[in-house]
Amino acid sequence: MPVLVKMPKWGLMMKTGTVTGWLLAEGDAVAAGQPLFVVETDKAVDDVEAPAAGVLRRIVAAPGTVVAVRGAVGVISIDGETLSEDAVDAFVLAHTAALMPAVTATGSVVRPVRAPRAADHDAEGRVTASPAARKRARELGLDLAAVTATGPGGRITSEDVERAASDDRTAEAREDWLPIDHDLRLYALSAGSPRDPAVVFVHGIGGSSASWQAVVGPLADRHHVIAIDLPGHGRSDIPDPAHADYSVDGLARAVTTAIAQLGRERVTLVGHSLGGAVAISAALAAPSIVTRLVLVDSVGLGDDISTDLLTLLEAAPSESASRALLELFFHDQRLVLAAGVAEHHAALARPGAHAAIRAIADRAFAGTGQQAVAGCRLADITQPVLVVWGARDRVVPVAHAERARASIAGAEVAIIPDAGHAPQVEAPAAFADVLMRFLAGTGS
Amino acid sequence: MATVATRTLTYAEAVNEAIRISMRQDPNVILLGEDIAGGADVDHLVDDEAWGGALGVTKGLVQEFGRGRVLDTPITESAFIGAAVGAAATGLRPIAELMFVDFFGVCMDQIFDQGAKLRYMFGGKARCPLVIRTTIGAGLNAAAHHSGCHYSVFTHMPGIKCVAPSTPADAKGLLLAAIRDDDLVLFFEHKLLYGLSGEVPEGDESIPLGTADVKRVGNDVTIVAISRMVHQALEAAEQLAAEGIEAEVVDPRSLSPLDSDSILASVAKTHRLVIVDEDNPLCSVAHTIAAIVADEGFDSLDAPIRCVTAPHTPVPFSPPLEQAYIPSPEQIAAAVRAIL
Repeated sequence: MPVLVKMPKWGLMMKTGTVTGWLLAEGDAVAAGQPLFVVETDKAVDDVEAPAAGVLRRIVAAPGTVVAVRGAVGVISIDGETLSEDAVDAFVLAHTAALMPAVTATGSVVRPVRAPRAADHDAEGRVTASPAARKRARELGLDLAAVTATGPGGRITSEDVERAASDDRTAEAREDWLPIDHDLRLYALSAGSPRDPAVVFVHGIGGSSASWQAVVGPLADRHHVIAIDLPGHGRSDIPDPAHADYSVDGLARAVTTAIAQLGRERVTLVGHSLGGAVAISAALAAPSIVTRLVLVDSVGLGDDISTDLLTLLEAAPSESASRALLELFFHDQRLVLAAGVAEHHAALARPGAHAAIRAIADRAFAGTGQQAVAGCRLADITQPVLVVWGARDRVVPVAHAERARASIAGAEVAIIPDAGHAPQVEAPAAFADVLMRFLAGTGS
Repeated sequence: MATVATRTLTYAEAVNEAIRISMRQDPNVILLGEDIAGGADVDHLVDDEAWGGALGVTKGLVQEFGRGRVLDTPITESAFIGAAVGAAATGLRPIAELMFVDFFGVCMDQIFDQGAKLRYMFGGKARCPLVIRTTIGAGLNAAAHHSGCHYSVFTHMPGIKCVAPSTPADAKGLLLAAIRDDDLVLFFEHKLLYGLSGEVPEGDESIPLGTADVKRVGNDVTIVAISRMVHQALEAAEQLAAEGIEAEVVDPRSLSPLDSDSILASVAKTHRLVIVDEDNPLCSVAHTIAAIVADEGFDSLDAPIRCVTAPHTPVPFSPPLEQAYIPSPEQIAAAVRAIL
């Protein structure tokens, strides 16, 4: 059985990629993990590695071809298998067909399905739905008003409910700009089903929702994942620091308002660095909304913080300042890429962005240390708490994790080895694993 | 499960074989009915040309078991069914043949008020291990007196088990079980199935009463079909398969007791139900199955339950009308399409 080479999905918003070149020719031997072809998206250009060892049997997508995410790009034959051209054709077709409803991989006839239409209603406005559809919708907590019908006479069937639920679950990530105040809309990237438990991510100072990129996807299968850009950050608005509340408590209020705007009543709040202090503030102010708390290399648990960080936040935005900041963040310096530096700098170079960040830093860190220490209030936290820390954090010392364990009753602590200040970026798999265990093991 | 040797028999031969096996095993098993030996007592007819019943199903049994156990009776259903009930109550295990089910009216007191109630009224001290074999079904241009199904009349009555096999193998296995059963069993044989051939296990392989059989597996719709209608349903299923619709055909085999669990399980899978019944529709087995599924399987349903049945008329004599009377594969397929 050959192996299909597919278009990768880089990031939640990627829908297609362009194959710009092949690094091997048809018939070449290929090792698993060997760079095989080059893909360009609107955000990046990178090599894609071979998914298996064997022989590059077929190039399906010639250079210049735009391919949907997970679409067929090539075929690798493995274990020395010899495949006829017809067999390769059939293999590719089978994969392509599997993506399209109404045709099976075997090419057999499939039951015709009526095109979905708006469901019928009776004279009293009750939607026409089969008993099985009603039962399944009840089980899934799905509103039948949101389901289109394929049954005769516009009747919703249980299959329609399953389809709606599955569409909902696999819905593309969506972006919202949530109105918080007259001069503030917060950007929120969400993925997964709104019927699943909500997990809200808050980034650190100078960061953005993009810092959660690698963990949002794996989590979205079973959770409604929401990553927010704080005021002045990422794609959110930048209110004037002369009037706006850039305190940690003020940022926390903006986050809880955003959660309410998204219609979520109970969430797990995950905060990184300064976002951790924001999350603690929100958890204390709104314990009925923030039912679980996850603190990642968090501010707010002690006094110490890297003075290098404070100096760099103070400095005028420049590529070199952004580079130095990322070098401070990462344990593995190979992760400090030109693209990341450019992106970081571009965010800070937005008009007003640096002023906003300085306003936040002024309130949170009084020149040499943390002002926003929730210290004395940590004992008031009643929610289940997970504390995650990169063992090689040079921004906020890992000792603060132990302090959190001592101060917050029942807090779980997970130290991620060989990661710096941003383990969710440096070790996303380990981070997602720790987080999912916590989410599975504690009640929402 | 051990492999059982089979060979091809017709439905009529399978019935005959079940009787023969039972009569060899148990001297208390006797046959009685009109012409079931047939000509055996007539001087100018030699024994091996004896009729073996109006449709020849019991042919050859009188030769093996003699006229002491294979009794030709007068054309008096009330008398010989009554005699059979009495024989059953007093220790024999009779098999009576009611030539056409349409004649049940003549002997209904013996069946309904005596045979069916014996065990109940004697607190279990009396039994009625009697099988009444009878023929059902339209399609032979035999007119209204000889063409009905009417099993729903008997399923209505407590104390009677009702069996309607659709294949030679089921006919043999179920009849073996019916003869051994200690209650009154009405065994409905479809006239148009007698010539149907199929693989039949050798030897004494009975099939428990009250167990349905899935005759075809499918995911899109459940078709419950009775007796000959199983074959109409299978033909409809083939038509539908060409359109990509995979029907599951469930044969209840026993109508009373009814294996509703198997029907409900199938509907839980397919979410749609069509019932095919050659009997008249009112108070029918078809409508009882519909009621059971509407009650116990309501939350499985994605569409209304459809019944494809004969109309509420006697069976017409006119051949075109008779054909129109019998549920057809086309009607069944149309009913399926209407709910998909």
